Amino acid sequence: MNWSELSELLPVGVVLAAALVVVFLDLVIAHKDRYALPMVALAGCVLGLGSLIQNYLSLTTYYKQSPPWFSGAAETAAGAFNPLILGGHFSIDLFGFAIAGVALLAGALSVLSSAHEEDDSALSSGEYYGLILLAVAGMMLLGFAHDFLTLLVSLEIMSISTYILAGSRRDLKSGEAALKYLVLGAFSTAFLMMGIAFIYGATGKLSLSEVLIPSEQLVSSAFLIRGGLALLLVGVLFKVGAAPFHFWIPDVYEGAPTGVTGLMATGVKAAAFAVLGRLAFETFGPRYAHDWAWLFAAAAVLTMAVGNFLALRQENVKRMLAYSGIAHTGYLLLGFLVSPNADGIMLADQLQNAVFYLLAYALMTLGAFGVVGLVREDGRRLERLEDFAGLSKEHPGLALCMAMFMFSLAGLPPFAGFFAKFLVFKSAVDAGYVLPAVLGVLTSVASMAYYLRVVRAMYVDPVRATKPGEAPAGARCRYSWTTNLLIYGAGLATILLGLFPSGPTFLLR
Amino acid sequence: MYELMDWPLLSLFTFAPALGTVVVLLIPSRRADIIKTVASAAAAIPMLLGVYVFFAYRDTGNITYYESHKWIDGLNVWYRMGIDGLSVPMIILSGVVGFIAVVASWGIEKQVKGYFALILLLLTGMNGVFVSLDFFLFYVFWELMLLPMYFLIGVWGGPKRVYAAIKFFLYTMAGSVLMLVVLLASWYWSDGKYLEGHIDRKTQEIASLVRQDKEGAKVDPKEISDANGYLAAMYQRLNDIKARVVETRVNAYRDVQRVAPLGGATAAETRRALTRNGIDWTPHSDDMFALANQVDSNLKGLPGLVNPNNADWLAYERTRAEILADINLGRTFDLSELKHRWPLFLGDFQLFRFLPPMSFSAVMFLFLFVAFAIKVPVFPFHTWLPWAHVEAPTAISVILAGILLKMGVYGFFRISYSIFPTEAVNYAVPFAVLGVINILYGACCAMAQDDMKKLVAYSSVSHMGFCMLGMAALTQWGMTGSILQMFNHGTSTSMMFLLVGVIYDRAHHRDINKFGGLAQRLPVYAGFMTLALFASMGLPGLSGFISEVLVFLGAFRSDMGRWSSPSLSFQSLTILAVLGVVLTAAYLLWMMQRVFFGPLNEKYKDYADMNGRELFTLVPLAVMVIAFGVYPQPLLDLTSQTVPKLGQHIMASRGIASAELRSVASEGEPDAAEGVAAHGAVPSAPRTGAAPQGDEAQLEPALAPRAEETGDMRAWREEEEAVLRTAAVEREKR
Repeated sequence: MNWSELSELLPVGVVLAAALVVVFLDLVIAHKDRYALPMVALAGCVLGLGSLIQNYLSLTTYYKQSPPWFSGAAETAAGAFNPLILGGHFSIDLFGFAIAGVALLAGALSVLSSAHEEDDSALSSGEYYGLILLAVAGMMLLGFAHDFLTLLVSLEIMSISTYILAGSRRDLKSGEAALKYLVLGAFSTAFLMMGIAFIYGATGKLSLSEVLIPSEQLVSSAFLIRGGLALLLVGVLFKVGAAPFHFWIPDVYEGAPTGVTGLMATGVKAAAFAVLGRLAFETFGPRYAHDWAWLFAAAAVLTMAVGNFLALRQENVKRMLAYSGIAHTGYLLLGFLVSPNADGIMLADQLQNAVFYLLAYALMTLGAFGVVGLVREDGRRLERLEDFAGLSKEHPGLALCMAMFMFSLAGLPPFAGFFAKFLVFKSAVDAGYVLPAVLGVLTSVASMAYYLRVVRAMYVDPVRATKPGEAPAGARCRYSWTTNLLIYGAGLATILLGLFPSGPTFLLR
Repeated sequence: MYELMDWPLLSLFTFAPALGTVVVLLIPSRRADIIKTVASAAAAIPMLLGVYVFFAYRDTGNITYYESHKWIDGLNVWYRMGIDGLSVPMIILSGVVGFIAVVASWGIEKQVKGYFALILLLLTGMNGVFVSLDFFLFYVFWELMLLPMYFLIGVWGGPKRVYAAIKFFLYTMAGSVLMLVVLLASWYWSDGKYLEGHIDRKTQEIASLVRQDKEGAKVDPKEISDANGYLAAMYQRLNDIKARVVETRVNAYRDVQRVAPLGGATAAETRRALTRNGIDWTPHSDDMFALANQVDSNLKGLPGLVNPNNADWLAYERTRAEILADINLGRTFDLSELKHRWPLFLGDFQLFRFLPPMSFSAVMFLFLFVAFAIKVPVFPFHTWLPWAHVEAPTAISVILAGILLKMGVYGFFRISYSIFPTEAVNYAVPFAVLGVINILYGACCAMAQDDMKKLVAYSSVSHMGFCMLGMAALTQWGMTGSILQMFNHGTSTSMMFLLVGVIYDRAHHRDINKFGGLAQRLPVYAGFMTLALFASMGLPGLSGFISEVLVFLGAFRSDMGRWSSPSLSFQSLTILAVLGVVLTAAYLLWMMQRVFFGPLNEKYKDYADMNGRELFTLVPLAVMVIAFGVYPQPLLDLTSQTVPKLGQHIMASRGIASAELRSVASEGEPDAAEGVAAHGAVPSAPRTGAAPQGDEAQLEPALAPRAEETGDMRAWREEEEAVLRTAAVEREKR
């Protein structure tokens, strides 16, 4: 093992260091200077992103080619790019870079949207930001993880941090969310671990791309492996929040502080999909597509249906966004269906589309949660649909951004969400799964109804008087420049990504 | 020295209002006057460009003002814009009516900033639809228009605005989704893989038939020969398309070669030039480059090149055959390319396993039909229209009726009829029936209305029926009449909605029965209203007349469907449609009588006549209504070449796709082409034989299949030559 390869994980190190700095800084600075903590956390994310880009550039210059999309697509010739480092525990490939990038973005944006919570001491403490950074580090590691052991450890780094984060607001709902998340999360980890144990017991291998290479053991202990894989998939589908393992999502999203909800909906989801992607593209691959892809397709269809139709009935915007997140998990699953006769180029193409979806989804969801986090009255948080009435009059800019996020989530052109959906549907059709794609388009139309309700509330619905005898006023937002930065930035990115969808891939050349 | 031609005219036409949106959003909302001025200025740019195009455009049937840039790499989506005779009347209309609608909105007082930002965005969407030549771009603009419209109705509309807005949104969204399906499906099919699969299946069927025959089973020899003929025709079509693509590319290379100084351009330069002009050079580019060089060097040395004994020529033919054998057509959204790929869409198609297979193009055509029919609106899909028109503010009603409805018919012409020409023929009669239902049903509904605005809305339903009828006839006059009717209905109905808005501003209601004798107090208003009503009625000398007459003449001469159902011919349908004119006169005159004549209702005696701004919006429309009524020739000239070309395209497809597929392939196309040329009329039905002779014989002789590209290439080559000349001059200076 070549320890100098550790330098390729420097971005993770930067984020971890920032986490420690934030926690210790909280101990030494005065209480009134606490506003500096989110800035330090933000700096950690930005430095991590910088280091990630630097890593990418230096690797590209060194090998005179950009990394492969996943380790299976790497050429084997001497001098070619070998993405596997540290004895195959990590794979430094484009998929990993992309997931780490999305995780850092999600971390930075959720720090921005939490920075105004200074009234709540738990939410402005160093531990809070430290935990966000720890979770981000876990997500980045998950992006690069290439064997079951590193996968499990990174997953736990991320999960345990988010369990605590979910309960960081000191009220009943937040506590309930944390407990629910902890119990069910532990449950799913148990499934995952059991699956890994079965597979390791049967094959004696841990590397993701090697466990299913045809061999004698694979035949002799087929039952054990099948059982192991089934348990593994249950665990992973649980983490991404796919139906029928989605029940925890609405409660946890609703109860957790809004900044944390944003992080869970985007970063955690991206990291969980990193695991799913590695399993789908590296472990199973086209060779076993017949065996598992129908399962993913069924889960995708069920998830889309459940998410969209339950979202129709929600009156709480945060809860509605949680169900919409479930629906989007379904669309994303479509992007991971592999055709039995796919080649490396097609798989790389599919991964690229899925990553585009994750990026677009992260931007619009974090933006939407940012707006939701700001709406309040007399210091009370307001999350119900009717509380958004008249937002367009009081805060036209925020309402405009929120409308854009809603339309983008619904998949209307020219916003990023349209291309994201377009690309994953294309992936599914290319892989030969036409019916799931068609159902995806149909449920996506149905989703228009509930996204439009938010827009209608902001722009069209009459404003009700909040107190008897008072003149009716529109919804009011607390002012916070950090959150405004997040919202307008995400809004701009949603449009730009929609107008120039080949922009991100262009950057990678 | 810049000429206007060198500018990205159509991008400016489309995005000037969007720029206006950005500027409007930056102005503080208390400066309402500045916002209104900026918005009007931004809307004036497309109008001026539209007027410029009206005077500068000479119809050749080819795409002009072409712009193309690569937009999305992986999907082969291009930013392609261009106009031909179909779009020119529409962009003039959209420019003028859009500007008038913005000026007519000066009276808006509620949330001025938001209103003008949205209406400008709406204009961008509409203008974009009329100029985009890429299916994907078309779809994006089509959707872009939906959002501002929802807000404009939902926020600034009348009392039931929320219901109206939601209804409009859901109807349009349903249509858009179907269009999205067609967009994707035709993209997937455009590479010919599915047709190749279809050919493979057919080959196997024939093989099994032959096997059965050998084993002694009774197989009708005619069945085998029919199947063989069909297969040969399919092969022929596929190869023709491939040959066309190769030819386009090779010609493009040669054009680049010709302008390059001394010894030809390098491959890299060639690629750059091709990319700039929207030609996909990806597969076989180097082969074709070599091929082009070969041809050129041969052309220089040997005059009699096409000679089977010439070794160079044989080599050329061999290379060409090799390329043809394994060329990858590639998927495309380019509408002018998809137009030539229609045979690829003929194969069987199974949507779901439990459904019987249908023709792919028929399914796609029906999906597109619903998408566009909702917009037109065609009879069973029209119920959103009265709501939206009545609840929308005046200016938005003007845009809805004046421009939005036309997008449906334009979509039929631009997409359905071009990409699926065989279905245009198959569904001609149902389309005409729907058109006639629209005419009669819309007129009857209009007659029953008490609300002036609702009456005008239903009259739109009725008038769009004429467009459908003329379009379905597939004759030159019918289609020209349909396009003209779109334009004329756009101007006259805009006038009517503006006039209804004028009286609503004063009386705050639109109930026809409560007015009376208004002509005594508001003579100018009554005059304009009379003009608009008469134009809408189709009185000779006003614009509506000529288009309706053309539609009737064209439809009456059409022989579509005559061979399938003699009782439901276009002749009988036209006779029914003419009844619509009588009904139109009835409801419009009755309305006029109740509002303007009779005893004066004393409540309204103090009303002022029209003010300056109202006159400013109405006079241009009135001038157009009269001018194009008296002298419609300029408008007819705009489409004089494009419409016959589209007709030829449809008819040529029919000659191959219907009966001829079963006969030997080589006889298919020349027969159809000769038919068109010989009989002169577009509807030369090979089956019925006796095609109508007569004064419709104004068609161009059949054009070479790549006429479009050469036209573009020529314009572009001149540009390239100019650049090179300047470079040479500069070099000499040094």
